[in-house]
Amino acid sequence: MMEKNRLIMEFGCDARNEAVARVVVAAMMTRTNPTLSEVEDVKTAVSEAVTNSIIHGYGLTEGNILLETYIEGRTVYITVTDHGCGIENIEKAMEPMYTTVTDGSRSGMGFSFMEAFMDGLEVISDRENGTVVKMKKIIGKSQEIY
Amino acid sequence: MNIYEKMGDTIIVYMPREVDDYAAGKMVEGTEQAFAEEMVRHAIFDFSRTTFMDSSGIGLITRRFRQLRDRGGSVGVINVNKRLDRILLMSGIYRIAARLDSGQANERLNDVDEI
Repeated sequence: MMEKNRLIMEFGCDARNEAVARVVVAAMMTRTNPTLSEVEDVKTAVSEAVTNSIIHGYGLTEGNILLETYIEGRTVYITVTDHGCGIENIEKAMEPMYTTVTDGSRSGMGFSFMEAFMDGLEVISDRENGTVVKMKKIIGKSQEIY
Repeated sequence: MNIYEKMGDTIIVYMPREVDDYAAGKMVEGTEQAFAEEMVRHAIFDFSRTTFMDSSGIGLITRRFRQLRDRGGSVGVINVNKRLDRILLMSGIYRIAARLDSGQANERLNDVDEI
């Protein structure tokens, strides 16, 4: 049996699922009584992670993306897993504005946004198994900037 | 509502409610022909409808900036709420895109009419 505060969702790599994923997490985290700004932070980070799996992990191929959300107290833990091509150089991938797509259509800000909007980010990736992105957000911690 | 409007050498792009990779892709597709016209030199991205944006929106603006820069043009943004402003600021996009208030945007468009 799964813990009461855990949600596991698996979906295909259709870009329309980016919206589905972030809305599901937003709904799940309402029980932590977050501010609107905290919800937006998490939605943006989830959108970035799922987009990475679709664009970079699977590229032109197909596969499933696993989204796991777990809530402990007022902390939201999110894991996004794909079994795509993995990241060759994680350090480089996490640099702001670094992207492997050269047509100028991608900003290279995905990981930077995840880092900026969440309170913890861990990326595990290899060419064999794909990529796991683990994030956490501590609700009620951050001071509102605006 | 149209997704863009052309006034002289300026194109106003009405950004969708949620700007993610899917919506940005649709947006690029839908405005590709309009941006391909050589006489289009300036773009103003209008965010009045937008309530959500991730880094895909940044990619969209830089893509058009590169295209218009080659023609000596410029890009700007209007109707940016606090949340979007934070995202745009973090991304460094203000180095290439001016944040315009509606007065400045009108001025730009009026300049165009006089030409």
